[in-house]
Amino acid sequence: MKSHKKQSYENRIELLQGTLDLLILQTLQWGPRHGYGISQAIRAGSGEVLQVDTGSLYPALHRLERKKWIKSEWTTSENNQKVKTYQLTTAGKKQLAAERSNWERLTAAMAGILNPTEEA
Amino acid sequence: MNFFRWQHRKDEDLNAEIRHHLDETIRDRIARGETPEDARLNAQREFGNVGLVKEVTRAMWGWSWLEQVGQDLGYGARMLAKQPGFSLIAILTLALGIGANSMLFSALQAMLLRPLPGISEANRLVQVGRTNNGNGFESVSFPDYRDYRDQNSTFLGLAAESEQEFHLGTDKSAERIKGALVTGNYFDVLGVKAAHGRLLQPAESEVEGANAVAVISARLWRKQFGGEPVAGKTISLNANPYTIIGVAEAFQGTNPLADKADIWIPITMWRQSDPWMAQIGADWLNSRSSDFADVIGRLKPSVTLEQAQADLSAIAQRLAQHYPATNAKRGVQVAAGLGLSPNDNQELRQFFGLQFGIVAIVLLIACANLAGLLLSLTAARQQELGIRMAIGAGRWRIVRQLLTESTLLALLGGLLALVIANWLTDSLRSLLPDKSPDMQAQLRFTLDGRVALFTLALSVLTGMLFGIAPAWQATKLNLLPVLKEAGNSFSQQMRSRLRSTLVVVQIALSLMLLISAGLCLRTLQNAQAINPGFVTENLLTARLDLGRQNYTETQGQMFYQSLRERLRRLPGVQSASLAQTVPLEGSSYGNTVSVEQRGQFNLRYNIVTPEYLETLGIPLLLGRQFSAYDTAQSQRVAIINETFARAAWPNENPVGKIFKWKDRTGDLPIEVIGVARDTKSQDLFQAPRRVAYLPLAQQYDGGLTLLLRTSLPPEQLLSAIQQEIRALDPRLPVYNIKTIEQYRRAAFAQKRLQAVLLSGFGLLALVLASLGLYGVLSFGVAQRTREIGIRIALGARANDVVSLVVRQGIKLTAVGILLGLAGALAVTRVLASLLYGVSPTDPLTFVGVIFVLALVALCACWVPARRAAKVDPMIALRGD
Repeated sequence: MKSHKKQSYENRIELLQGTLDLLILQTLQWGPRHGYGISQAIRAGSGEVLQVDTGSLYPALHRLERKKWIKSEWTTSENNQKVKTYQLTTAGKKQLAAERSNWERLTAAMAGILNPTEEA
Repeated sequence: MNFFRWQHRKDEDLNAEIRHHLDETIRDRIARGETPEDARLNAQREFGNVGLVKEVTRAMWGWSWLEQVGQDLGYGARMLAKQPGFSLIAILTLALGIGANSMLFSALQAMLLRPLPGISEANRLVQVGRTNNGNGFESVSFPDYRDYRDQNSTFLGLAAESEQEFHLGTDKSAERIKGALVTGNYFDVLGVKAAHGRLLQPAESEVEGANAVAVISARLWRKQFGGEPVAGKTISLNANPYTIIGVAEAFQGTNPLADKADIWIPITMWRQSDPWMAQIGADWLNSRSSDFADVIGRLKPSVTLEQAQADLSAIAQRLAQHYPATNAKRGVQVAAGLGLSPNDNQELRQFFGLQFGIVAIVLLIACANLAGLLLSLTAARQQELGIRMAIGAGRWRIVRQLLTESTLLALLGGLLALVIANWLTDSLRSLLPDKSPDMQAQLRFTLDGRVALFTLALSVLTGMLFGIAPAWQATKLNLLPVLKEAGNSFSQQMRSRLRSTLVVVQIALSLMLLISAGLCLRTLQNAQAINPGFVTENLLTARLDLGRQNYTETQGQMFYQSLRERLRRLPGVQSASLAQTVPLEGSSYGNTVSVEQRGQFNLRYNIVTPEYLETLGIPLLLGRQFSAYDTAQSQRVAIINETFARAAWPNENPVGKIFKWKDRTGDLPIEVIGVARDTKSQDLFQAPRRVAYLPLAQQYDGGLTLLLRTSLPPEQLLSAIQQEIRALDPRLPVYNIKTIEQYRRAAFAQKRLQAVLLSGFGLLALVLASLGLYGVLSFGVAQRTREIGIRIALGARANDVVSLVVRQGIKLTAVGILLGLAGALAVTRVLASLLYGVSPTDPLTFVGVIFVLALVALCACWVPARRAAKVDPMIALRGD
C-alpha cells in the first residue's frame, strides 16, 4: 500500500537505490526515453512485477543526471508537448557495465547461499 | 547565471516533466478503454503526492537546503511581522541578554585577547619572573638576567626592561610620559620594526651611561614632531639631552593594562633617568638583591615552555649555589604571554569568569522567558502546523521551520545587541577607576571580526536554545485531534508543565542574581560608609617629581618651601602641604624600626610637611605638631599613629620615646613627638596599619604629592595652582591631578561596578521572571475558563477563584525560590572575595531579596487572578 508519508518514500529510495539505478541505466541502453517511458519499460520488462514509484523514479533520474551518468534533452512530442528525454552518457555506460558485473557477482553469491546443494 | 532564475527554471522543468508523465499515463489509460474522467483520477492516484515527489526530487539538486533555508527565513519573517508585539519584546529581551555578553567579550578582548600592536609572532614570547621559595612572580635582578641571557640554550633572545616615567622637556614646558629602560636587544626580541630611523642595538646597552639615545613611539612622533624626520634630533629627558635614533612602528609597550609607553632608552642610562635613586646608592645593574628587570624572551623554534623552564631552572640552581646570600631561596618561572604576571592574569581571568557567569545567567533567563512565550504562540499555531504535517511536511522540517524563526529572532536581537553593548560599555566606562586614561580609552566597544563572530555565534546558539523546546513540543502532537478541533487535552497539559518548569527556572536564576546583587549593594554601602579617618571633601592632590627634573636636595627643599608659601596665599586654599604618598592611593613606603625592649616593627611611613595633619584633618591626640624648628640639624622626630603607639608602647605615653630607624647609614634614633588618630592609609578596606609621619625637612624625597584643603570646589583652583607651579619652574610637569574623593571612589570602583552590573541584571531578571509567571498564569486561566465558569456557576466566590490562581502562582514561586536558594548558596561563595562587611550567606540580604521576589511574584499573579474572578459563567459555559 502506498503511504502518504515522506518517511516511507525515503526508505524505499534507500532500499532500491542501487537496483533502481541499474534498472534505469539498463533501460536507457536501447536509446533515449522519458521518465514515464522508463517506468513503463521496467514494468513491462519485469513482467509487471516491478512497479517503480514516481517518488523514487524522479529523484533517481535527477541524481543520475547530477552524477553525469545520464543526460537529458528537451524535445517536442507529436502532440506538441514539451518532453524531457534521458539518455546514457559514456560515463553512464561504464557505470552500467560495472554495476552489471557487481549485480552478477551478487546474484551468484546469493544463489550460492540460497541453493547450497547445487554447489556440492 | 542568476541562481534564483536557474532555480526557477529547474522548477518549471520539473513541473513540465511531471505534467508529461501524468498526460502519458492518462493517454495510456484512455487507450485501454477508461473514461477520460476515470483515467485522470487513476493517473493521479497512481502518481501519488505530486508536491512530495517534487520535494524529494528537488532534494537531489543539491541546492535544496539553501533554498529551504531561504523559504524558512521568508516564512519566519512573515510570521514575526504578523505578531509585532511578541517579536518586539523578544528582540529586546534577546538584545539585552546577548548585548551584555558581547560587551563583556569586547572588554575581555580589549584587555586580554587582542595582540599587542607592533610585536611580531607574540605567541613565541614568554615572560620570565623570579620566585621566592617557589612562590610569586617578581622582577629579576639585572645580574641574574645577564646570566639567564648568556647561559640559556632555549631562547633566541632574552631582553629586559624596567618601566619608567620621563619628563620630556621642550624649551618652554615639560610633560611626563611613560616609557622604559630597555636592553639593546629589546626590539629584536619583540620583533618590533622601525617606522623611521633605527632601533636600539645590543651594543648600546653594554656600558653604563654611555649611550644617551632614545627610540620613540609613532604616537609621540606624530604628536610631538608632526611625523617629520627626527632621527638625530636632541630631546631633553629628565633634564638630560638624548639623541633620538628612530621611531618604533605601532609598538606601545608590553603591558596591555597600563598606560601606553612612548619612549625607550638603554637600560644602562638608568642613573641619568632616575638620579635620585642613584644618589641614594642604588646599583641596579650590579646588585643581585635588586628586582629591577622585567624579562621577556623569545623561544627558539620548536622549543616548548617546559623545555625553556627546565633550562632556566638549571641556571637558577647554579646561581643559588654561587650566590647563596641573595639567590638561595630564588627560583625562576617562565610564563606565557606578556605584560601581565601569571597572578594578575589569573585574577583578571577569574574576574571575567565571574562576569561571564552573570551574563550567561541573564541570557539563560531571557531564553527561558522566550521559550515560555513561544510555547503559547506555537499553541496558537497548532492547527497550522498540524495541517502542514498532514500534507506531508516531515517533523524535522517543521522543527527546522520553527527553529529558523527563533534563530531569526535571535539574530535580530543580536543586531540590536551590538547597539546595546556599545551603550553599556560607554555607561560602564565612567564607573571604572580613572587610574589609567589609556586603558579607559581602550575600553571602548569595538565591533571587530571576533566580536561580530562571537555575537553571531551566540545569537544562533540562543535561537536554538530557546526555540528547541517549543519546536519539539509543537511537533509532538497527535494529528487527528488537532485537525478536528482547537485542542485541549494531553499535549496542552504537557505544554503547560513545560511552561511552568521554565518559569520555575527563571525565578530560581533571578533569585540567584538578586541575592548576589543584594550582597554587592550591601558591600558598596559598607564601603561608602567606611570612615577613612580624615576629611575627604575638598582635598585636591597633584604630583610633582623634582628628582626627574635633576633638582638637588637643597634646591628641592627650597622649591617645596616657596611652593607651599605661594599656594597658601591663594584665595580658596585653606591649607597646603606635601607628602610622599597620598592616603587611599593604594601604595605606601615601608621600613623596619626597632624599639628598645620591644623588638622590631614593620612600619609604613610617610614623609610630610609640618601642616600635613592639619590639611587632612587628622586630629593630634598627644604631643605636638612638627614645627619650623625640626630641621636637618635638630633631633630627628616623628609623629606616630595610635596603632603603632599601642604596639610599641602599650599603656605608656609614647611622646618622648625613641625608635631606631633602619637606614643605609645605620640605625637612626627618632624621637616620637606626637600621636595622631588612626586613619585608613593605603587601602580603604584594611585595618589601620602602624604608621610614622616624618618631616620633609629631615628626610628628603624629590617626588612628592601636593595636598590642598580648599574652601572652594577644587576644580576651580586648578589653573591658579598650575600657574603658581609654573611661576617657580615652567618646565616641571604636574601630573595625577585628582581629588582625594576620586581616590576614595576609585578604591571601591570595582565593588560599585559589580553592584551596578548585578543590580541592573538582577532587576532585568526580576522583570522577565515576573512576566514569565504572569504569562503562564494568564495562559492557565484562559485554558481553564470553562472550569472556572463552572465553579462560579456552582457558587464559588471571587475570593475562591482568586486563591485558586494565586495558589498556583505561589506554588511555582516557592519551588523557584527553593531552587534559587540552593543555587545562591553555591554562587555567593564565589563572590566572597568581592564582599566587604557582609557574609556571603548574610541572612538579612537573603530574607530581604526573597521577600521582594515573592512580593513581585504576587503582583504578577494578581492580574490573571482578577481576570479569573471576573469570568462570566454564562459566556464561559457557552464557549468554544
